[in-house]
Formats: sequence, structure tokens, C-alpha cells
Amino acid sequence: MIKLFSVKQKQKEAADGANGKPSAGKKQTPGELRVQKDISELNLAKSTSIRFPNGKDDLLNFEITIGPDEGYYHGGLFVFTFQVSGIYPHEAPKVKCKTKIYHPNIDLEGNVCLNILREDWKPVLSVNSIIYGLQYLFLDPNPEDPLNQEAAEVLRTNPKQFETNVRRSMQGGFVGGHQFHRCV
Amino acid sequence: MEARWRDIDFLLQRPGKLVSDGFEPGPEVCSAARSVCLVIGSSLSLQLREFLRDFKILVIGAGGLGCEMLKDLALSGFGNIDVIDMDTIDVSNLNRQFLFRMHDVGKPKAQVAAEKIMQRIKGVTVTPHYGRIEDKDIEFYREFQLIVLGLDSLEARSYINSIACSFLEYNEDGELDMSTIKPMVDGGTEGFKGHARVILPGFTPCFHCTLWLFPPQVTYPLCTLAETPRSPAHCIEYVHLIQWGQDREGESFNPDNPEHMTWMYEQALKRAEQFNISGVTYSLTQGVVKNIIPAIASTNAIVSAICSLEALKLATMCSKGLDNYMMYSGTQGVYTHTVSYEKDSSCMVCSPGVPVEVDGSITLQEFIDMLLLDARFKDKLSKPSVSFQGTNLYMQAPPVLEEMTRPNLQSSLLSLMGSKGVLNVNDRKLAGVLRVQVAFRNVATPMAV
Repeated sequence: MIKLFSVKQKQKEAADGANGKPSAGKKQTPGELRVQKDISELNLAKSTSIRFPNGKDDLLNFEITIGPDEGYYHGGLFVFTFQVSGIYPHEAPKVKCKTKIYHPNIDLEGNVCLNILREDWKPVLSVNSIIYGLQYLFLDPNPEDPLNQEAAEVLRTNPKQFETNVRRSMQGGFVGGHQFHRCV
Repeated sequence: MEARWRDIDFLLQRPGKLVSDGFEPGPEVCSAARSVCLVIGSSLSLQLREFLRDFKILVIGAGGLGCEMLKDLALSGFGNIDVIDMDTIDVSNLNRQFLFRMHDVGKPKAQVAAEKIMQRIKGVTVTPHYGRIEDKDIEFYREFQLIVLGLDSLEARSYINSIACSFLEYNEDGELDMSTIKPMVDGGTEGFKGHARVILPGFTPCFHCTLWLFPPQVTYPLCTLAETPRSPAHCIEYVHLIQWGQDREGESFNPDNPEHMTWMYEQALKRAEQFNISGVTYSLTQGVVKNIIPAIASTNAIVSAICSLEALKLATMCSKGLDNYMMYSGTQGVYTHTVSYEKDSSCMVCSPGVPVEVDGSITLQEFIDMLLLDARFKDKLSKPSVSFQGTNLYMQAPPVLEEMTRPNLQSSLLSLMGSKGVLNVNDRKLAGVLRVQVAFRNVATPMAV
């Protein structure tokens, strides 16, 4: 324990403040610093790009666009929004799919069912890990444990139909009673 | 001698084997006449009590812990207390937040707490602040000699921690200027368990140094919520995370709005019936959605007592301080365990940063080149990115950010920073952030025209 205060001399904290000590300025949260590190180390494939809608100084909110070059979704462009909290990496970033997509693991509101975004998140993971996870979802959609039941059903029972449905949705057509927007 | 101060005076009046170095009960207490000693003792404890009366202390939170702490601190002799809380009083608070009554429901906690304490305890001034801690200027926090935390979230603690640590100043040799330490006492409770810790930034670990102590929140896989719920909590979380967005598009969910909460409860009940799950109640719905764990008055009382005692010790040095983290568990009796955690020497919030002195005219590009040649960073840097207080000065990647920050390379570092300060350097080769304390020499003084 260290002696910080003395009864004999009253602290003149107000006076100290006026002594030209540099003001602490804007706070940068540990989450911002860590996400800055993640972003500067991103290993983006040619088909993946990043965008900062709030400018270069807001690294807590950004968009990643993934353009799968093989599999059911090749040719399409899908935008994901990332929201990082101040206590990142203690908490996983919130990721949603902005592009309306016909996919067993992504629902029509854009919620993404990816284990590392929720129950399997660990602070040692990073934005890069999440991007790999998302890319994997496009290469290998998982019909077990789906968010979009109808899409999962079709993939399970009739993969050829699933392929057709995906292509139609990417071209902006109607699938299963829902209107999609063109994203190829 | 006022009977009211008898117990405190036992602590403040006498030296002994358990006091801390620097405890000042005063000059040597002569053993000649006990009555003389008592007279000296009482006048010196008077001095300490006067000191406490003017001691500026801030209590953050006027809830379960806050109410207890205000009471404990005021009764211990602290006479100049500020309290800040952004909440208003709710009926569910009344089982433990004893400063509030039924007719206070709806009023700001900070204001009612301050009133009640001043009514009940003579000689103390409690100044309430109704608002968020983030809305206060940093100068507000600088005024206080000690900050006591009765918070309920990691984010809020992280915020106050970074403020307290930002006051730290180190000299050119990397030594800490002790007068810049802003001590904090942090308490937390959850059901039958709690903790109390003393944070002396720069000495003991700060909140961020030990962030790994906190286990991650329980989250459920989205697909389980959607397809195979098995518990009432799954049903509630499904409505909370998925169904709300679908059925009430555009509306942001407000947990304090009874209509929103009732809708959430009714939908969760319907879903539970669909899957044959029992146990969905209104209070469970509130608990899951707001992450509430039932609170117990005695836990708050115990943790608050520990915290207030530590505050008294820090202010007066009357006894050995808690070093530095105490855990309390009341599930099977009364059990405490104290651990002395160590500071993380490369903590991105409280560590001093490596000192670097540069010429006032150096450009950002020249600075980065200099870092790469500095022997202290040998093998630790390859393509460093530099930021200062939330502004990204130069980012090496990704290409879009590199382009946006490239113009800064030709600007003078001093113009980008404004004055001396700490830069944050990120690099692929570093495990964490490298803090660099930059000082400028040969700074041209403006000519008086």
C-alpha cells in the first residue's frame, strides 16, 4: 500500500490541473486498439473488400464485401456489416448480412448463424477468423441446424433445385415467396 | 469526544503493528501519562477526521452497492461525497436499495440517495449527478481524490478505468509521478458472490490488466434458438434476437418499456407452448433480456463494507491495505479469498509506454523510419501503423485505409499530435499494442508580433 495523501498538506488538485499538464484528449478504448491491429493485419483475398462508411477514424463500424468465386454463390457479392464493441475482443463483433440472401444459415433479416460469432467466440480470434468463417459458409452451406428452414430443406432433399434457387435469388428473382435483389 | 466517532477513532488514533507506513497519528505518543496520550490522540484523530470531512470522493452508481457505500462512507467520516447514476428508481430495487421508498419510484437514484443520506447523517455533503458517466468531462473526474465504483457492467468499468489511467504521468526516466495516481476501489456483486478490489493505476493491475478474469457471457447458437430450443431461456432469446426484428421491424427494443417487455413475454410463452417447454415467466423474460441475476442485500452490504474500509485506509493509512483483489462467496457460508494480482507491464491502458524523444520538426514518415531503426524495437516492428487518441495517423493496411492516411506521412508529427503524448503503434510482429511516449525537443516558440 502506498501513501497517496497527507493530512499535513492538503492536496491542491485544482492548481495541478492548471499547470499545463497535457489534457487526456479523446479516449481510445482497448477495443478500438485491438480492432485496429486486426484490421491492419487483414489477409483479404482478391474477392473480398473492406469499406469504412464513417471514415478512417471509426474502425468500430465497417463493411466487408465477400464475392465467392466457387460454389453455389459464385459471382455474387454479399455485404456484411461489423459492429465492434469497446471491450473487444472480450465480446464478439456483431455481424449481419446486409444483402438479402437465400442461404440455410443466414435468415432473411440478415442474422448469421456462425458458431464463432456466438457460443464459440474466444478473445484469441479476430476479424480475420470471422471472415474465414463467413467465406466457409458460402463454400459449404450447412443444412443441419439452419436459420432458414425452407432453404435448408431444399438443399437437403434437392441440391439441383437449391442451386437453381440460389442463382435465381442472386439475379433478383422470386424464391419461396420472397423477392430478392440482384447481386451478381 | 463524540460517541459517534468512537469506533473510527480506535482506527485513527493509535499507531500499532497493523498500520501502514506513513500513518500519521502524529508525534511519538509518550507513555508517561495515559491521559496526556488520550488528549494528543483525540486532537490528532480530530485532524484526521477533519481531513476526511474535506476529502473529495466520488461514488459511481447509486444502486445496490451505491446505497450501501454512501451510507458506509458517510458514517466513516467522509464529508464531501459526489454520487453519479443514470437510472431512476424501480420497484424491484426496493428490497435492497434501502435509501428509496415506494413514493420515490420514478425519481433519479442519485438525487434521492443524496437527499436521504444528508437527512439521516449529520455533517456530510452529498452532491448528486443524474446522468451517464460518459457525459462528464474528464476534468470532472480529475477533481476527486478517490473514486469508488458500484457499477454493473464491464463497459462502464473499462471506461472509468481508462479515464483514471489517463491521468498517469511518467517522467523521462519512466518513473511514475505519484501525485498523478487516481486510486479506485471497485466492487461488484452477483447473487451470492462478489468481489472488492483496490486499483492503484501504475502500481496494482488496472481493470484492463485483468480483463481475462471475466468469463465470457453465455450465448446460445442462433440455430438452436431457431430450430431446437430446449429451455425457457432459448424461447425468450429467440423472440428477443430474431422475432422482434421480424415482427416489429424498425422499432428498437426498449427493455424498460413495459409494453415491449410484455409483448416479449407473451411471444416467448407462445413459442414455449409450441415446443412443449415450461418455465417461461415474466420475471425470467426480464432476467434473460436484461441479463439480470437476482440481487441479495447481504452480498451488497458485505462488499460495500470491504470497499468503504479500503477507502478509509487509502485516505488515512490507518491499516494495511487490501492487496489487491478479494473474492467473496456466500453460497455455502461466508468465504473470502484474496489474491495479489500482478500488473501487466505491457497493458495498453496503464503501462507507461516506451519513451522516445524527437525533434519538433520531424515528419510522420521520418518518425516511422526512426522507430524501425531503434534498437529497442529490433525484431518487433516490420510495418508499423500509428494512431493517436482515436485518430489513425498512418495505417499500413488495408489498401483503402493506407490511401486515406498516406498524406499524413509528410506532415510534421508535432502538428498531428498537438503536444507531447502517447502514440499507439500496431504491428503484425507485436502481440499487442506498443505504447510510445513521444516528447519533442527544439520546439520553436511562437514569436510575439
